[in-house]
Amino acid sequence: MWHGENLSHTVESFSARLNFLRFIIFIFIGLITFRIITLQIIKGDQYRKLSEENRIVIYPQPASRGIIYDKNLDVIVNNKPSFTVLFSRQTLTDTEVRDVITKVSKFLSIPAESFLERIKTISGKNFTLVKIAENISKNQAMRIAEKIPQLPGIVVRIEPVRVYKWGNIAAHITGYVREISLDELTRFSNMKSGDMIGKDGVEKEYDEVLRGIDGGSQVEVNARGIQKRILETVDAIDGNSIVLTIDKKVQNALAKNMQGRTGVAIAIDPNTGGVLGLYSSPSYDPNVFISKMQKWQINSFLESSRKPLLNRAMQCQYPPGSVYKMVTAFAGLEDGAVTAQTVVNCEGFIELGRYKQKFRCWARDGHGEFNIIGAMANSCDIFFYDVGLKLGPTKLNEWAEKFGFGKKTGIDLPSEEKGLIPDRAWKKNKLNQDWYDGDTVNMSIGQGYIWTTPMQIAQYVVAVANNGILFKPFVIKKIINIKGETVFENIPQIKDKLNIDITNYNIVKKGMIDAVSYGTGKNSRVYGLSIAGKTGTAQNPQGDNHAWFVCFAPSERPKVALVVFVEHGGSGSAVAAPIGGKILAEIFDKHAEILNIKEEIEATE
Amino acid sequence: MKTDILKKFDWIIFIDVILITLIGLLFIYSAQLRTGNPMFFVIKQATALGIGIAAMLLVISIRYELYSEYTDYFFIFGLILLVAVLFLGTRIRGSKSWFDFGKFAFQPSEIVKIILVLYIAKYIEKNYHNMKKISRLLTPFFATVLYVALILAEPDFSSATVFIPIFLGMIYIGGVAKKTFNFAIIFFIVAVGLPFMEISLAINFAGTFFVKNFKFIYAVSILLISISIWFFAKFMHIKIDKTQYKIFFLVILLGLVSAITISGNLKEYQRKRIIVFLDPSLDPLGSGYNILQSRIAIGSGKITGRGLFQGTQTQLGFIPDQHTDYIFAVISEEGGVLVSILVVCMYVILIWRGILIARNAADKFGSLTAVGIVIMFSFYIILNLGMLTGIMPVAGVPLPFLSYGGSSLIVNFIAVGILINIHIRRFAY
Repeated sequence: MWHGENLSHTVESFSARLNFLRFIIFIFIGLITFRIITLQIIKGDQYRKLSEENRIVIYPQPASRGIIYDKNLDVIVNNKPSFTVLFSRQTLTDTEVRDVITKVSKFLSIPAESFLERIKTISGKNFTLVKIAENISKNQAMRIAEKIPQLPGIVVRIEPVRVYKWGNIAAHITGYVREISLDELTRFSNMKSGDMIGKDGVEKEYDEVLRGIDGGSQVEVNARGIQKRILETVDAIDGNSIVLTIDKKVQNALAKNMQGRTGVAIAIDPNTGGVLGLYSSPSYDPNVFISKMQKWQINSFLESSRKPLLNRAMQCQYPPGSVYKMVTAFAGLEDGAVTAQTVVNCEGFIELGRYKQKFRCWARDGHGEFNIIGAMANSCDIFFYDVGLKLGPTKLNEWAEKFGFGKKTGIDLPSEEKGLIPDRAWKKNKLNQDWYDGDTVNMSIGQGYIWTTPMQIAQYVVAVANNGILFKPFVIKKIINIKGETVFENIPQIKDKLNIDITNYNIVKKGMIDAVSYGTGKNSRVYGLSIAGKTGTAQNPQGDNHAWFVCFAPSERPKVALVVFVEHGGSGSAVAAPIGGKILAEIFDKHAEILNIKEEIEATE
Repeated sequence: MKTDILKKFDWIIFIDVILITLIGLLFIYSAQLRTGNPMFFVIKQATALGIGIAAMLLVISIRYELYSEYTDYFFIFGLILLVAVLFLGTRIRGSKSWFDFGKFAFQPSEIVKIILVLYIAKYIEKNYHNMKKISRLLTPFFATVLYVALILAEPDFSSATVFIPIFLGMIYIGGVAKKTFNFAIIFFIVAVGLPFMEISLAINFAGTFFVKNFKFIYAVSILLISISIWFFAKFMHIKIDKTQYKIFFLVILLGLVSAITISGNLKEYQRKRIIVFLDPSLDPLGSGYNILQSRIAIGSGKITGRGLFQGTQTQLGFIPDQHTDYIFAVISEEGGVLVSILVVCMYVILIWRGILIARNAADKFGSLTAVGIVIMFSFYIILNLGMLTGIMPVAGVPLPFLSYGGSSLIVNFIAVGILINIHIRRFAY
């Protein structure tokens, strides 16, 4: 060793400096080793996952949503194959992406901005396919397909798209589907961007039944996104189909006679509680929501002052007015406060309280003497004030609850309101006022603070029609899987049996039959059909009176219970009853007696 | 004599580098599998290995003391090569750094490293007892600057970087005074600091007045700092050697001149590499993509690896330049931590033996040459692995013996030949 013979300070210096150099080098190598161990052992799983995501692209194969049938297996909603444009970003730069999208948007004559917005939702995974346009025409699809080599990342293929065959006829029953929103994506972990989700009606209530399970292929791609091999293919499992209790004939009759009006008509089978038809007017075409391109139409729905998206059968609450009088009648008869022989003289008004406040009958000059049947037929308010006062609010409310008011009916459709049966405690609590006799008389004719939904009224009419059996209304008859096997069959659910005395039942029924044959409901008469009905004209602070007509027919063995409601329509007997008559005539293949009598408005002060 | 040589021959270092090269061949094959013609590069590399071993044996066969006689000529030869390549070279990837002879190409910047090592080693040996004098540093410094300047002119930023640690390391081991060494360090900090700071500021405050005029602000503030050091010392009554301060100031000025030159000559891609090093997330599909993908490859290898030829990152082409600069990512992905640590250990053996050879060499020239070579290898290993694992900037330097590259492999074997030569003749006294 040369330095061994040299001066000692040089020896030390050389050796020490060499050691220091070695020390520096091995510090770095130590750092690198530590880094390698961190990457491969500690973070190994994480990077293995990233490498899998790098190479594996999932080409989803969407499942078809289940079909929705009416009770006679007529197709209400199904799917049709539709051309869809999908895009995967691959290794394209932002400018290239913009370029491709601009080209595609020209083919479709849709502004590129709407596409870029959708692509923004893809983050990280560059090979994930994102739907950018669906329901495009065959010509458009062919034009894009021809230019695929110049459009990297674009895929055109056929995917099932929802078709609402009944269109706006059954919109509030079927509901509609829309592409899942970002907010919903965070709530449903099993959904992915671009999936359709039920937004209302049966589509929403039974979304998971109808949806099915998407399949797809796991495809290995190289760094340039070129497919190398298919690793695994899972077939899509189509969603289950649903058979509704809806009857096409009934539904059409409701729709036809309600069109152009604001309101709702509901027909229910009084023997089961199954909904035969439900039409809320104005309606809308659920097909509009399928295609992204008709945003302005969707917006016009949302912004329309007539609120077509509202299902007025359950999502709105109204005062029931005189159609509520059967509650008071049953309460009075069952309690014994009135009998068939009780006669009340209607002078046009009664006076209550210290200040002699007048509560009027709709017939200002008075009806004269009525028993309960005559009072019902002519919808005499004074008679029912008398019954209400004899019973008191507690007994009246007891019967309101028995008929299902103040609670959701539990129908299998979304967003149901529960209405309100006011009582002493409620009034004290809400308005800080005492309960007066005036409140009781209002309550006895379905006015005042009471709120009901048309569906609650329908549920109640069903119970009236079948002598006190309170069914839970429902729209789903059964669910069938793709093999056609029934996987679920709905059975009628009896919520309560009111055990009404048959004599009392017949008294009320007679009152309702008389109402149609000569009373306030005579505008609903149908040749050869015995109808038991009741009109209602509900005052409300929002504007014109609401017109109600409830009935069941044939009165001897009821097959249909019907509710017709026209929002701010005016008088029940002049507006709602004729609609009810026409509907029943169509359902039973008969002819309505078109009397067109403009009865005096039955309303109370 | 022959048996003597075989006995003294450093088998450890020889077998070590042969094994590393063989591992390299295997993974070059794997990295090229997806092209459908994996043998193409393997055969070229194997040929270079043959030539390399022959060159190595040739280098060993001549007593290394003999080289020391000719270092000046080597140096001039190196200059000629570097100048010639500027005129006669072929442009590959934007830099004129190759002589293209049709069948094979040769990169003079590779052999020039060895020449510089020999030249500096000889110079220090001659001036060993005067090395504390600062004037003794000027010759090796300007020799290095000359080579670096010519290589930057090609321009080949990555190849030029290795000369700085070689110079610094050799003068340090060569017994330069601590103060002088500090000056050298200050010089390089000032010179390299500007481009780095400029770019890192540009990432966050692009377009501001501060960034636009950064060169000027940098120069003025560094000059102000160095001047204020003088006044501060005066104020605190600290005695400062006037000559020392003058040298310090000169070093600062030199550093600034180099800094502005480097910053002005940085290619866009080099600027980008530094940007990506500072913040890889800025460009996930551009330069950052390479870093990210190689990191994913290394990490996904986990303990036992994906298996030979089974690495998805490699075989599906996610790793860039996978047979050259990024070969370690391929090895790590397919071999797992077991093989990647094995490779690191083999490099440690190489460096360890190199330092042992430097310590035991028969003369100063041998020691210093060995040190220069060790620094060269270490620098490449650290920079390349550091880049792949994400603790160093993307520099585009190859991994010795593993990366595909004929010139580099042959020169590396010549370097190992020199080490073995020094080892064999350690008892020559």
